[in-house]
Amino acid sequence: MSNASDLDQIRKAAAGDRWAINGLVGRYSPGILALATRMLGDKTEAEDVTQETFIRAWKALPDWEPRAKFSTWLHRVALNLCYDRLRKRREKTVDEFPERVDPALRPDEQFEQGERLEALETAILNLPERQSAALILCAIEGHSQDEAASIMEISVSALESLLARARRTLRQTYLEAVQ
Amino acid sequence: MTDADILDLIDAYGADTAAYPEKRRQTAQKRIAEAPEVFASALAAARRIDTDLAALPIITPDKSFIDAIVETAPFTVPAETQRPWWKVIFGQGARLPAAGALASLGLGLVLGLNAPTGGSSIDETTTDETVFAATFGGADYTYWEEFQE
Repeated sequence: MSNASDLDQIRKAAAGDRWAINGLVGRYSPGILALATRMLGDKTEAEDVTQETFIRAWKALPDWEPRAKFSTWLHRVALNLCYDRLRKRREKTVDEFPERVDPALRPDEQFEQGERLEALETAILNLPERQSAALILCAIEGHSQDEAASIMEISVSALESLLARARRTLRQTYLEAVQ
Repeated sequence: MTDADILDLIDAYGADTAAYPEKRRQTAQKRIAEAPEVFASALAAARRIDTDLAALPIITPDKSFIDAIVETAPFTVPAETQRPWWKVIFGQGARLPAAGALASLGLGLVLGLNAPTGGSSIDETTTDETVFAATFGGADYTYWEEFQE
């Protein structure tokens, strides 16, 4: 359920109150942008997804019913928009579109801190999209297991399975590469 | 809970047992404490990944981007007329000064209607001459005589 503060702000935003709209954007855009950036690996696309997410929110606000948390709903919309973009990328030829996957992990090179983190970002981008979504939501953005499962519309045990597979892959690819 | 189950928990949630689901947390913590050698390697690898995940830069939108999103919202009222001046000054308490003004008005009316009327020296018996004297000076009838002319 949305909390009282959310509901009050949603009602005011739906009535066109600029301050309430500012509040919603200020509160939720960082998480949405971070999720989209890490899912897509592209700042411009992530910003497009964030903007589109809020445009959908403005349309939904007048009929908003507090069955779910507003933040969960927003993240779900953003995640689905990311999935759409990743699917469209796959449908295009490699020449037409930059790859999401950058296979440039270099096991033979020494990794400085900055390079390590860059390699980790790349390894996360290389994961299957549902695994990377689970990892980003839980391990990076700090959502609870219940919240992340709700955003992804899966059970907590399915989320746990995705997380385990994601971390095993990171252990095999990323850790071995940077050691 | 088997050791394999605990390794699955480490795989899923990392080395920090506080992040494990509440129902399984205590059992896992107890078993890890009993046989640390069984889980040491998995915990070490998980800890390295945890540390690096925590070190990833925080992604934050800049102000111009936030403003651009706000501008996509369908405002029903232009921004500059959204908050009237009394709301800017008094915030949510705008009702208080309004109530205060009404109370003052009411009090003024009550006091005014109940005020004694004996203070006025003008009544039905007051003559023009008396009024004139009160205004221009009672002792000097010269003005009164001039006025009558």
